[in-house]
Amino acid sequence: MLKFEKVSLTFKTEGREQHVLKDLSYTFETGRITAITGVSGIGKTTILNLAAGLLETSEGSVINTFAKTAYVFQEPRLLPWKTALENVTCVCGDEKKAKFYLDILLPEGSDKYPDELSGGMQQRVSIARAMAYDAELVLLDEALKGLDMQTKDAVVKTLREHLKGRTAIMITHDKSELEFCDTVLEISDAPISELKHVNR
Amino acid sequence: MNARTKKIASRILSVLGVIAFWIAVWFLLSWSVNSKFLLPSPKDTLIALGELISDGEFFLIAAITLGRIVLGVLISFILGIALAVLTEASKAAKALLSPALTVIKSTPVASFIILALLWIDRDLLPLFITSLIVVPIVWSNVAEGIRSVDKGLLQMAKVYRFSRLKRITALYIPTVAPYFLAACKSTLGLAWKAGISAEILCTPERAIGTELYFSKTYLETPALFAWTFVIILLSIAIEKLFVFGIGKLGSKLRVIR
Repeated sequence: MLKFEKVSLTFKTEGREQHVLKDLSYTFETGRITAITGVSGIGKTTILNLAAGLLETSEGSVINTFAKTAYVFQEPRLLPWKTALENVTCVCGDEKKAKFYLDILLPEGSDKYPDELSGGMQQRVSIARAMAYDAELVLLDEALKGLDMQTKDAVVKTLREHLKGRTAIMITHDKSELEFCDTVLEISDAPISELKHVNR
Repeated sequence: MNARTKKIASRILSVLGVIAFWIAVWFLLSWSVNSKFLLPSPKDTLIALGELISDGEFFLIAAITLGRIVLGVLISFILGIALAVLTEASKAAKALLSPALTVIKSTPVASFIILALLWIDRDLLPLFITSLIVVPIVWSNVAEGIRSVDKGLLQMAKVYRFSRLKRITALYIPTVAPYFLAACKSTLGLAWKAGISAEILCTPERAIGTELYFSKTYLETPALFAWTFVIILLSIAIEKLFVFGIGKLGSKLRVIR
């Protein structure tokens, strides 16, 4: 279960307080894919960071009862001194499993270092890493951004298959990506105090 | 002759040319001074060096000084890294120990040598002085390396639950390695010079510094030059060997490019 209970979050920047979340309560549906949309800079990534335990709330609590959480960040965040295969193996601890996902998402280049791969290829390694981790909760922050159309279709297909039965939260601006989400939430006002359901 | 061989040959020739130029300058200066007590010629120095080498003690003296300083450097590396980890891990330790770093960095080595002569056995003093020079540099460089670990990668490691050991081996060591190598490059030469200076002032038994001191006292200037030549050679050899070794290891692990 992933539940936000009266969560408030305030950042202090240059002596001024900036409220990002205010009294937000929401329970994400287990086993479903939820998309979050909204304008840039409103705090969508903050929600994922709170869910992943990377941020502490100022008030309220985030309850994440999932044993494992995978996170595809906006940037690939790969270890530059490890090959694509080593990056994935490092997280899942199983080279065979890492190879399996890389063979699908990056058929050529699993032995390459991040600086030898394009931005899109690095992002595919990051997605493969999240899949190989085999987590119950998967967080995707504009994970498919930067992928070319041809690759994107293959990645979406694999990702869709992988996310079946898992809880996923996906931040996206791309309408085509909303198609495979069960629920779409929209953030329109800052500070975030509610996540509005979008009827499709 | 292929392009690579040509390049190497031209590099060797240019290095030899530079050496020949400075030997010529030295020769002309010594010829104009015309006193081997004030400025011995390259030939006098070479003869003195031959005499030193033929003496049975030469290699033992060089080895003891070398061993003493290398040991001091290695202990300092361990101490510097430990202090960097401690001060970056604990704010209290940082507040407590950082002033010591500033004091050590800004105190002249000679002051430490004179003070240490009162406290420490003269055979251990060069080792202590070497540490005083090396520890602060390794400490501040490694601490800077620790601070520069990518925050995004740290978050990734947190999400994917890297163990403490995995964080150290997969994140911290590769990030800190180039900072450590930079510290090695800048400290080896300094450590060597400081160690010899300490030997000159405390004159331990069987040491290059002691030999330099006695060469000066007995006005054996060619021997003084010969020992200095040995110091320079050993200093270059240690620095090149160490940096080459660490660089090779680093590039093999892809942490230094």
